[in-house]
Amino acid sequence: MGSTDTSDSGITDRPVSDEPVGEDSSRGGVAREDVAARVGWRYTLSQIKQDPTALAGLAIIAFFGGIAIVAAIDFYFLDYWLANTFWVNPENDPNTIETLLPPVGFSNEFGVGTWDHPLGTDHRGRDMLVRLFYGTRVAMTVGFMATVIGLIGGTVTGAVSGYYGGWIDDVLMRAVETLYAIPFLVLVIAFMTAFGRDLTFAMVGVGIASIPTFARLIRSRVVSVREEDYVEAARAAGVRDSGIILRHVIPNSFAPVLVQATLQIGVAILIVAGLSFLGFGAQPPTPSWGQMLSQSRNYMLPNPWFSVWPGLAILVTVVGFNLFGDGLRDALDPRINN
Amino acid sequence: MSDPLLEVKNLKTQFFTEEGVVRAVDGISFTVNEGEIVGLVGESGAGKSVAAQSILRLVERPGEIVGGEVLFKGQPLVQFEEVGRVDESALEGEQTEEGAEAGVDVDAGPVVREEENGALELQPTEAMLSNEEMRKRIRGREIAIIFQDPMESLNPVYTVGGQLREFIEINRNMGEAEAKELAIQMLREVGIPEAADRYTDYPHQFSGGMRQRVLIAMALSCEPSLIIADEPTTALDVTVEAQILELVDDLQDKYGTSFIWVTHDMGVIAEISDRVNVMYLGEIVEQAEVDDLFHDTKHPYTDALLDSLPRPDQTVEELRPIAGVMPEAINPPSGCRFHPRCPEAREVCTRVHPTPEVVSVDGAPHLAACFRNDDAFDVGYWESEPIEMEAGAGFGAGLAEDRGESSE
Amino acid sequence: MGLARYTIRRLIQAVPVIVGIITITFFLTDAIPGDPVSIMLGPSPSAAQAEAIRAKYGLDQPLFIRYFNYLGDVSPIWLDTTARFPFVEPRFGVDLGRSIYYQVPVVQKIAERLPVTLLLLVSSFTFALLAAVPLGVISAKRRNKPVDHVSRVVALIGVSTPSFWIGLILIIVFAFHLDVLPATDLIMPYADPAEVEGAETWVDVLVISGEHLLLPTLSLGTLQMAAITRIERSAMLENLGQDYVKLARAYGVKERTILRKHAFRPAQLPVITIVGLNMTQALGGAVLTETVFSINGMGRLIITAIYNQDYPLVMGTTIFFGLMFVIGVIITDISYAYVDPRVSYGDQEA
Repeated sequence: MGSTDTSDSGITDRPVSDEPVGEDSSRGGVAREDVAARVGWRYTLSQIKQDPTALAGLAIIAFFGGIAIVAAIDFYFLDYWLANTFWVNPENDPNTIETLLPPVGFSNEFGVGTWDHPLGTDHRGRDMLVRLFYGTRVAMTVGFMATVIGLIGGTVTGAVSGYYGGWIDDVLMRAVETLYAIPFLVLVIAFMTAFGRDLTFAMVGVGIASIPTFARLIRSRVVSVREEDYVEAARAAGVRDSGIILRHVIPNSFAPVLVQATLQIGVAILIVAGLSFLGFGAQPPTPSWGQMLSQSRNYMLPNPWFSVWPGLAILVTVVGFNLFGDGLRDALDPRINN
Repeated sequence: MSDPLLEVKNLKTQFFTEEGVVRAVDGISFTVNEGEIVGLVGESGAGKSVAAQSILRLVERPGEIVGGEVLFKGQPLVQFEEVGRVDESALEGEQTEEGAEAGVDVDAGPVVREEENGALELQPTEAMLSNEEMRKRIRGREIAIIFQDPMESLNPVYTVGGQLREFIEINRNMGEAEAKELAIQMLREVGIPEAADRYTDYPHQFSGGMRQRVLIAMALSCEPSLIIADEPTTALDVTVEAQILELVDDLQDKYGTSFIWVTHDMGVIAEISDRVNVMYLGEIVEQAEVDDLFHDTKHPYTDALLDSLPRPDQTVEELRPIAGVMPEAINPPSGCRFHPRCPEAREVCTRVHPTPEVVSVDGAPHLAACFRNDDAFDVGYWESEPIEMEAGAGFGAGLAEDRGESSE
Repeated sequence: MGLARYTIRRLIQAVPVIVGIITITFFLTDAIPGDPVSIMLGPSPSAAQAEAIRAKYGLDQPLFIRYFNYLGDVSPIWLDTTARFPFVEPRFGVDLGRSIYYQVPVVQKIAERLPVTLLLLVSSFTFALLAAVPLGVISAKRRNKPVDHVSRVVALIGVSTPSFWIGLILIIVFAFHLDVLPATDLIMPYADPAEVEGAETWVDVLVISGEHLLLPTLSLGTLQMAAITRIERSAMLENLGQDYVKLARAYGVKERTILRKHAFRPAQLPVITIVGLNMTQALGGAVLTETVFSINGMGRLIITAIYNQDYPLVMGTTIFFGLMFVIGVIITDISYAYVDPRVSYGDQEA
């Protein structure tokens, strides 16, 4: 299955030696020492600084990340103090009667939008903006943690598989592909049904389901790096396999993995939103964007705005990760920097 | 003697990059006569490939041909006329509108070209062939090109025969069946066994040497008057290279095609060319008949190149690589560009820029761009003070120094 | 013929993967806590009923026996032991059990729902391809011009948007506000006019079928379209810089031909790869889209099954999802091999 091996943009992060980087006279004589300057973290950072879309992506990530952290602090430690002070009570307040309000400037059968609730309210009268605010925590946490799980699991699997080759490689890769064969959603849902419909399990489930992506990526990088001379040299010098993997192979495969991880966080957020939408994510009353969208289905006619904002939040967040990930990829790929 | 087949006069091609303007080809002039093989030799980065591609106007963004003239059988492939002079301070070396796919955009406005003393504003002439004319009349049909890497030059998803046939159809005005026949015949001609079967094979099913033969077949089957071979044997084993050279020799005897042979290998040059141009940093520094070049070298760079060839009877200690590294073409050294690495450099070499002048005639004129040939230049070389070579010996040294500033 | 052999090879390789899927499904389902008997029969079954169920489903037997039996049930061909020589005889047919919730054989339920999902998948994929490929090619050809910028923005948004949200918004706009398209259900184009509301002839059925198909297609297909556009663009860009394109130009090939023939074909390889990789997302998206539009397809079936703890149905549908994925990937791989001769003719070299 999946005989088409996708090796990502060949990014050599290797120590730059004196050897010429190939005859390239048709590009107008770029001298060799120039290449040394093109690889390495400092250069990457400077590239990113010049790329407006990547910076925009980073800004978005920072923005939502910051919100998530603040929301988490408020939720876990301050018991909604922040929200209560600056807004309305996000919990279900029986005295609230302002349900399904539209945003500022609009009016519907339930009332007129006010600045008290700039984006309107949901079907229980809870402020939309506040709910989005807390939903950020769920989205960012799960997206991030799931990706980390997938990254670690995938790296171990892919590295071992790629480095040792042979039957280990075959077995591991078949297992990975079988894991991949069951649609993401179905797999996670089944997983959660088996173990629990909790956010934690959603995280683990999505994490496990993202292992194949990273495993493949790492494996193809490892396979190509494995043949490199400095690995041969290390092996000849008697360095243990695990040492080689840890200190040579993985650092040099890192760049495309970083790109993939950034993009994967976006993907994970989308999947978790879908799960929540189907009822397999954060359980009420914990707010999560996907779940809000699910609830909004019942109120599409009376207050369509209910459906708009959570989706928009997801959209912007994922755009942020995609922009930054793309920017990273462009910065790390020496070919494009011609 | 009849008119030369190809005349290149003061050709200039530049690349407009973020780091600056790379003067890849900075005013080269040479000719190719009918039936002869002209070598174009130099180190990596000297601008040989760019020059070769400029002749066919195949240079792509961010590169552009910015000046000079290329005449093929009298037709102008590249030709500019002056429109005016521009204030030096006004230009940034910015690229003109990118329009056509290759080289010179006929419809774009004037090209602004950086010069040492102010900028010329140039514009392609009316007579210069348009892109469409280049495509239809010259490319493939009159001038064919063979690229360096046979691995990359063939499209992996189409059969070798199919690609060959397509080019034949276009350039020989043949129908499909006729072209196919010719294709098979040409494959046989270049020494590919079982040509008819191999016609339907894919590039990955050929070895490197075989692929290069296919490329040669492509070039020959279009029956051009001139073939530009851009390092065709660099990527091949020595033994395979020898076979290819022999093949080319035979075919040249048979068809009388002229060649421009681009390489960095002096050995190949010695074997195959009639006349040679030695390039350094975008310029031609020596031009002569091949025997003349090897036995009566007139430029220190050529000397050094020949000296640096390892010989079987030399030990490692006796190897004599050229000191330093060829600098970038963005900011070439002042005066003679080779002076930082030249053991014969003198003070005058850092100030005055030599262009190739005739230093002797033995059959064909022998030109060299070196003041040491005092008679031809008369700048007082021998009176000038010798200077220390800036570049230290070996690879690592000189990396930082070769940035274009020379000592005063 | 390399391609045919390659196809057969892939099909054979698919078998262990399918077995793997069945295995994972089985053990995953088995891990679900709870007594299957009470789940199937309700809270207080009678002893006799419980006995009967246990015997029927072999619930007393050890895990591996049950697994083996299940494997035999699922496999279209299996071997039963007999007393006579040769002691084994083939058994045909697939028995996925009986749905607890629907009280019909699982296979029947799947047969009902599968065409609907297939229609949705094919429709959205076709839309994605037809829209994305030209867009990507044009984008590459006119790099950094307005067309390129617009398409890149659209693609970025398409890849970042939750598909079910697109569905919701589409419903709100087109079904509720503008009232031009229906918000739920899929009507199969070959349905009987008599059974379709507001249809008299088969042409009517086609039209109505199309109306129902439009919004779900857009909803599911946007993500794929965006992803394909992006990869198409980058693949074309990369190809246009290749040596063989330069060579074609050097031999006087027309620019349009170069684009259409020399650059296009090799560029499809990474595109095909990405399509294959996204297959799993597409199937997941189908589940979501069916939920949003209340479409009675496989996606909703599996969700319903999970909600209701209908284990035979869960297992059966999961296996079928896996099967669809496997077939999808095989088709992708074969397409890849069709374009890239190195895959099927890879072993031969001069």
